[in-house]
Amino acid sequence: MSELLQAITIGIPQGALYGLMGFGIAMIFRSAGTLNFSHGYSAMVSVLITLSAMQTFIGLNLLDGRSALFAAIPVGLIAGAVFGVLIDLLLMRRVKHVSPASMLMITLGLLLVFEGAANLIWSPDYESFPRLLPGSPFIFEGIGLFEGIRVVFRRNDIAVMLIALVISVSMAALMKYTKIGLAIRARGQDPVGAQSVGINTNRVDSIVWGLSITLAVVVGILIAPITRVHPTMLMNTQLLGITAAVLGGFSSLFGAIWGGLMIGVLERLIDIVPALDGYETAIIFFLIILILVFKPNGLFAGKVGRKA
Amino acid sequence: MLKVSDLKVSYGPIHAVKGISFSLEEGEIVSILGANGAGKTSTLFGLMGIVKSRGLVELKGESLKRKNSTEPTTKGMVLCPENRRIFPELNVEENLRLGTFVRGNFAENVQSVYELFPILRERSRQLAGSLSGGEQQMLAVGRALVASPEVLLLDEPSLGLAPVIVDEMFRVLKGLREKMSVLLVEQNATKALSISDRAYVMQNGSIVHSGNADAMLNDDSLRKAYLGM
Repeated sequence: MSELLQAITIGIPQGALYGLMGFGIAMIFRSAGTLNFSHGYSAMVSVLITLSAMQTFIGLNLLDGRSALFAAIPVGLIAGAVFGVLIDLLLMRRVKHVSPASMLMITLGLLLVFEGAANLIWSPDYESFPRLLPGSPFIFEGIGLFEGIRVVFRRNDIAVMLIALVISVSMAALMKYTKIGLAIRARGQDPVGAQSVGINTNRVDSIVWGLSITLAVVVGILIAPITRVHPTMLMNTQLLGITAAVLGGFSSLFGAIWGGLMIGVLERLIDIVPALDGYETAIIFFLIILILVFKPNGLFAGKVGRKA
Repeated sequence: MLKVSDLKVSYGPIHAVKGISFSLEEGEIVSILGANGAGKTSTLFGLMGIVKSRGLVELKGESLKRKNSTEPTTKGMVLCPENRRIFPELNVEENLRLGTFVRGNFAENVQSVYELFPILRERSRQLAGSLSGGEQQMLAVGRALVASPEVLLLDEPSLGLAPVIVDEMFRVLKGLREKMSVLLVEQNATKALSISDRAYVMQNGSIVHSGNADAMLNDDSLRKAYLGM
């Protein structure tokens, strides 16, 4: 019982990160029309920038450890937004009406460029990254009926869950109640329709790219204390993020968040069974294949299919 | 109201619209007729800045840059595109609200759209993708009307609709001339001419004939040559 609860409490924050990653990937897919294979990699470079900024602040004696971290985070987030907007303006805008295959190839190329740049400018070494909420974990011991149940909450996990929750809720509000949110959804559902009401779809695409990569940087900063900072630090997260988006059905953005939570918890649950140790990813992908066979539109696909 | 001179639209090596000129006066309904592939939709896309085009487009005497659709829409020229192009996963009201993205007072104008198409009021909370074809076309027209256009560009509003709904649609369109000028692109030439003041006939990207709508309806040789009726 303790093991089960523990798996869930560790799986949820982990899954929330996959979900946020998947949300951004799904947003780009729906709006800009490509699967961004460089998603986690552009975020990884932004995390490296965050780390360098933090080290610079400390090195110049401007700030000490904690405040240097919190001063460096906006630098990383802005870097992510800039990467996103530049990818759209410089690369995607030229090919998006021409060839979806070119867009896909560009994102694959960017993956290699970002990874190469990280190796060249920084290094392939693993560097540690501070937790947002350090300190000893909270330990809950069950009493009475729940005697013997013991669950450990890492402080950082609580920060991760809160941040993921706040971001999900604000994204939902953005999409539902703001003009730009409606424009993003409209552009994804029918680009000609969106232009017919005067929406500048090019500008929407830039916003989507900037916003999605910024979200991925948040994920990178939250996961960095666990993975540590190195050129492939977000490879797994990106893969599971894409998976979360597939599981949620690309047609529903928030499906990706639920998909991510499911994958995160599932990963920890599989971990409990000693015989399956090391096969987590394989089992998850096997399940995904099954789901795609029986529910090709994902578990949370919208009720209405796209119409021409 | 709208004056177009030497409009050209090309997709790479393909010249879809080869330098056409036409005009639309205040309160007029003018049709652009022609077969599939004649360049009618490309003309509208060019006017709206949805595709790149060359030539001069003047709206109320002011030249439009047409870098994107925001500028023409904001200045009062609104497109109701072919194939409805509504947002299937948004509800009817959200679709109409998006119609006022750059111009028009939603709270006021939505009431007059609901009066024109009462079924949309009944379905206001329903997802647009779940509407019938006719209802979707009404929604598409309604979405253009909430922006209170001065020039309405209508692309094939009767496409794929049942005859009784086509009649209903044309009855509504005919009534629009009191509030706006309408440029109507149609394959259903008889219907279009019956509500139009004037018409242009397009073939292979050029205007091959223009004239008074009534005269064109009665001109047998013209009808046989270009309009296939």
